[in-house]
Amino acid sequence: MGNFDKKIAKFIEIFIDQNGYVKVLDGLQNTLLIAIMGLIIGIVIGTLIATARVVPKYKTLPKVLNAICSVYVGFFRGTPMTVQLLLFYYVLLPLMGIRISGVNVSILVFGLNSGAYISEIMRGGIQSVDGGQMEAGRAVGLSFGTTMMKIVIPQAVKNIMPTMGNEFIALIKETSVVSFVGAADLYVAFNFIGSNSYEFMVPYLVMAIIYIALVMLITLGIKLMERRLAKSDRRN
Amino acid sequence: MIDVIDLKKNFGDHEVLKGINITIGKGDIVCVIGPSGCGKSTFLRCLNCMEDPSGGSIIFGGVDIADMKVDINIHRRKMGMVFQQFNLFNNKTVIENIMLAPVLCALEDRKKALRRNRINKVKNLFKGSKGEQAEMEPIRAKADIKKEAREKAVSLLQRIGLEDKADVYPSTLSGGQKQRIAIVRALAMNPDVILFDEPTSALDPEMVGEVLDLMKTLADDGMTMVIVTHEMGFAREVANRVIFIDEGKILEEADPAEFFGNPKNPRLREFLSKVL
Repeated sequence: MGNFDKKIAKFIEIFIDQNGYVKVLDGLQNTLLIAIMGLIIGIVIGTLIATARVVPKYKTLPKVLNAICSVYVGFFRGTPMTVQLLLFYYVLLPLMGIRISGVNVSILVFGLNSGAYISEIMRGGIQSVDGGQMEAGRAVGLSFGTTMMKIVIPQAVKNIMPTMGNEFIALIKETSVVSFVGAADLYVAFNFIGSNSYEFMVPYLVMAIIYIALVMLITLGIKLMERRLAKSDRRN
Repeated sequence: MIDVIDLKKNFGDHEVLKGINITIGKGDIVCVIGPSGCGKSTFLRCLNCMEDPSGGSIIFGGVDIADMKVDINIHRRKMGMVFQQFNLFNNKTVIENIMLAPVLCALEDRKKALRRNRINKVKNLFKGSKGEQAEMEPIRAKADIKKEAREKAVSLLQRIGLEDKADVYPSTLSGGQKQRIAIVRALAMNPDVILFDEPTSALDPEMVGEVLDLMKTLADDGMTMVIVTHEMGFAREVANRVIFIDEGKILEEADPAEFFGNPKNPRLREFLSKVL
């Protein structure tokens, strides 16, 4: 460990003097952008799919929708994120004649992927809400959709907050594979610093610390949000 | 008001209701009694199509609501329902629970009226000055709708003496308070009839009284009610008709004095001897 000081000095030199920090900030921005946009797209898709899957199925349309959703969830849960990224970037989008940047492809794939997972989380959440809530809503003349939006989903969201936190954390960490399609995330930034100094120990250590800090921040945020949502449980 | 004609309900191969015929008139207070598993709750839940009937028809306000093609939500607004498990909306405060449906339904009607007005406007353009102009419907302001609903909710809460609970969540209330709020939630829609599904069965004995008292005042006001209950005393005192359901059929239908004093059906006699 004698030359650890030297390694740190070298890292700092590249990090500050050779504008390494710009790359890191860019990487951080991309990482957060992909994870957050992915989560937002995922929540929208996931909620829609979950709702489609809990609609009573005695008509044709819900049955067809349910089958489509099953295939979708099956595909995105059945293949690794890396494979999906490569498929979209090198196969699907070129076949459709669409050219978009690696970051945008990543946002798309992360959104679709987390949508599949969140739909299952959300379905569990919806099923955990007492069936009487839906009945009461329908009995006063509200439609299935209105009751879902105003009564059931708000309660479901409260129940699934901890799991959603997990999902977001998983998304943040999984962004480390987006360099496969040329998106510059944290890994690319620190890899750049490492290759410029022929020294990887410190850059990767710092990278790990940044990931941990990110995850701790998210955990805190989730905790605060849960406390806010729990106000209807508290006696006042 | 409600005409039930040959109402049938199957769950898979299991036939729960085997043809129920009854007419419920305005101001009637009908108590439904029977052993557990006899189909009395299913009968009540079929009345507002919480369970879709397998056969027969339910004529309410001149429309057969058992027909799957009718928009059941419109008709349900005029049929309140009170559940055994109260089913207050847990994510809403007490006053929001009462206001929610009136506000949402009024807003929906407002949206539809706006749409009709837009269509009429276009029609009028085409007719020019010669043709008869279609009339525009008056549109209420959203704020007015909410204000009115809130005033109504407050007056309903005052009626049951719970106005100080307006802004708390249901999890802080006792069972009796919850059920009374569930009843005024149904009242907030100005229903023509209220269906009660064993309203006191999930309550502590000491809270049964307050809920029954509220139901009595509704009865005195002339509200039409259909009540599935095990409270024989209440049925005898408040109902003007009592029906006995067993094995999916109405076996006896009479006024309470006759029903409890001189039961004719042997099954009912046996049942009453057990519960009274």
